[in-house]
Amino acid sequence: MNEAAKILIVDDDRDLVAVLRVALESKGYRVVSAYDLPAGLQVTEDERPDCIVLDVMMPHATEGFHFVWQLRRLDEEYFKNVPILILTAIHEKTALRFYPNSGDGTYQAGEFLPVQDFIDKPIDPNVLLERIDRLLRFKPRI
Amino acid sequence: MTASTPPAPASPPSGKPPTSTTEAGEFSVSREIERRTTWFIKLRWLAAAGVIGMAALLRLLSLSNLAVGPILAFASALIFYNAVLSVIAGRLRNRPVKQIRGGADSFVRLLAPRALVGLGHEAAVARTATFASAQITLDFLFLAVLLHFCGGVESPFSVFFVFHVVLTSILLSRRATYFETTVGFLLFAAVVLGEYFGVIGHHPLDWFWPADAYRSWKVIATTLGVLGTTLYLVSYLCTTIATDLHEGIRDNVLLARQLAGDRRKLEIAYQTLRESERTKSQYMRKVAHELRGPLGTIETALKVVLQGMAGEVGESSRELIGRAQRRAGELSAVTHDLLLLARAREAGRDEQPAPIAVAGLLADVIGDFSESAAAKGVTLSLDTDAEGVVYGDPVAIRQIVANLVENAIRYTQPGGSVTVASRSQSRNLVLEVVDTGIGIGAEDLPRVFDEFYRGAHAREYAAGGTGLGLAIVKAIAKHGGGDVAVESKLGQGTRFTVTLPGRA
Repeated sequence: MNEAAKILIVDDDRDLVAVLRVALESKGYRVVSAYDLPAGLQVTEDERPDCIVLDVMMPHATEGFHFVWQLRRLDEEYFKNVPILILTAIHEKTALRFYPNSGDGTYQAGEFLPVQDFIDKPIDPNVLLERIDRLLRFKPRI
Repeated sequence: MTASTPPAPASPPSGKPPTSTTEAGEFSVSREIERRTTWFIKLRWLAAAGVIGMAALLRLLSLSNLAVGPILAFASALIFYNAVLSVIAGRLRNRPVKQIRGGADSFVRLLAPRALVGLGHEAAVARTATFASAQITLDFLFLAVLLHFCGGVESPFSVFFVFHVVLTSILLSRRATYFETTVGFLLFAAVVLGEYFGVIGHHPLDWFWPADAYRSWKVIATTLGVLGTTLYLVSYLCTTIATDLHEGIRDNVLLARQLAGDRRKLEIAYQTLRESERTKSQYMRKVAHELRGPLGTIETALKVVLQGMAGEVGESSRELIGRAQRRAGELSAVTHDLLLLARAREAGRDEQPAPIAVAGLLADVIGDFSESAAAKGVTLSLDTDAEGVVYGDPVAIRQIVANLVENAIRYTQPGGSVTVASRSQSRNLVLEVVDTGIGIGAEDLPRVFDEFYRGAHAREYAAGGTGLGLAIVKAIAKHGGGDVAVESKLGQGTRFTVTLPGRA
C-alpha cells in the first residue's frame, strides 16, 4: 500500500462514528464519514473509499439494504465491487439473508444482499480492524 | 333424544326467540318436539289397517253380524283425514317457525308442557301443542264413532283411548292432558248412554256378549268405571313421567346455555391476557432496542480507549474503564437476551416450517462450545441418531440448544460431562441436555424458566448470566408447539428435555 487506505463509515450514530474513526485512524487509515443514506452515496462517489463500513439499521430497519442496492446498481465497476462491511444488530433475524464470509478468507457471494462481510453490534474494535484488513487484502468480489 | 349435536352457544338472556343459524343444538329440541306429533299419524295408519283387518276377519269367520259397511266407511274416512294431516304435518315441518303473536302466549302456557315453556322455543312448542290437541280431539270423535259401530259398551276398542292419553301426556301440559282425557271419557259415556237410552241405535258384538248387555246398567257402570279409572290413572302416571322428562330437557338446554356463556367469558379473558402479554412483549422489545444502540456505542468507545487506540491510558484509568466496560457488557447481554425473548414470543408462526436435520444442527452447536468446554475441563459429547428431523425455524432451535449447552457447561465442575442427545418419540423429536453439574434445588426448580430468576445456589457458583436464557428456551419451544421440562437434584446434575413437533 503506497497510500493509507480510505474507509467510509456510514452510520447515523455520530458518537459511534467518532469512536470508530479513532480506532481506524489509530491504525493509519484515512476515514471519511456520512450520517445518512444520500450523503453516504455522495461521499462514496466523491471520495472512492477502499472500503465502506455501513450500519444496516440506519435509521430504519432496511435503510442500509437500500444503500447497498442503490450503490451496486450504479454503472461502474468500482461500485459493484467496493468492499462493504455491514454492522448488524442481530444478524440472524434480519429479513434478508447474507452469507458472505466462510471464515477462512474466501468469500462467497451474498445470497440476497451483495455485501462482503458483516459484524454484530456491539462492535469490538479489534475484530473490526481485523475484518477490514482482510477485506482490503483479499478484495473479494461479489 | 337427538343429543348428538354439540351444545350451541346460548341465546341472549333476554328470552328472544333463537335464530336457527346459531342455535343448532337447541333447534334439535324443538325439532324433536315437532317430530312427536307425527306419532299420531303413524298410529292412525296402524289403526286403519287394524280396523279393516279385524272387520274382514270377523266377517270371514262368520263370527258376527257386524255392520261392515259403516266400519269400512269409517276406515276410509280415517285414511282420508290421516292423509290430510300427514300433508299438513309435512308442511309445518318444512316451514320456519313464525314468531308468536301477542295473546297467544297464555294459550301456549295452557297447552304446552310447563318445563318446555320459557326456553325460547315458544313458537315451535305452541305450534306442536296446537296441532297435537287438534288431532287428539278429532281422534276421540272418530274413536267414539268407531265404538258405536263396533258394539258400543261391548266394544274392546275402548282400550284405544289409552294410547291417546299416553301421547297427550308427553306432548301437552298436565292440565291439557286431564282435559283431553275428560273429553275422551265423556264421548265414550255419551255413546254408551245414548245406546242405553235408545237415543242412537246399537250394533251388537253378539258373538261374545249377551244380546242385551248394552242395556245392562251393571255392564255400563263397570265398563265406565274401569275405563275411567284406567284413563285417569294413565294420565296421572304418564304426565308424571313426562314432566320429569321435560324437566330433563329443560335442564339440558339451560346447562348448555350456561356452559356456552362461561366458555365465551373464558375466551374473552384469555384474549385479554394474550393481548396484555403481547403488549408487554412489544414494550420490552422497544425498551431493549432503544437501550441497545447507546449501550453498544458506550461499549465500543470504552474498548477503543482501553486498547490504547485513543492514546496512552494510565494504570488507574485502565482499571476504572475496565470496570465500566464489564458493566456495560452485562447490560448489553441483558438487552440482547430481552430482544431474543420478545422476538420468540411475538414471532408469527412459520407458515411452512422447514425440515431441519437435527444431527447436523447439534453437531454445529457442540462445535461452537467445544473450546469453552475444553477450557473448563468439561467433556462435551453428542448422542444422536442420524434420522431425526424437526420442523421449525433453524435459528430459533439452534438458540434453544445453545442456551441449554451454555448453561450446562457453566454449572458443571471441571471433570464433569455434558451430553446432548436427540431421539424420535412417536411424532415428536426429543432433545436432551444432561450434565453432571451442581444441580438445581427443589425450591428453585419450578421457577428456573421465569424471567431473571437465578437460584441462590446458581448465583453462588457462577457470576454472570442474564437469568433470561431458560425463559428464551421456553418461549421458543412453546411458540413452535413444543415444550421444555427439567429434572434435577442438588449436587447430582440436571436434565433438560425439549420436545419439538417432528411434523409440520
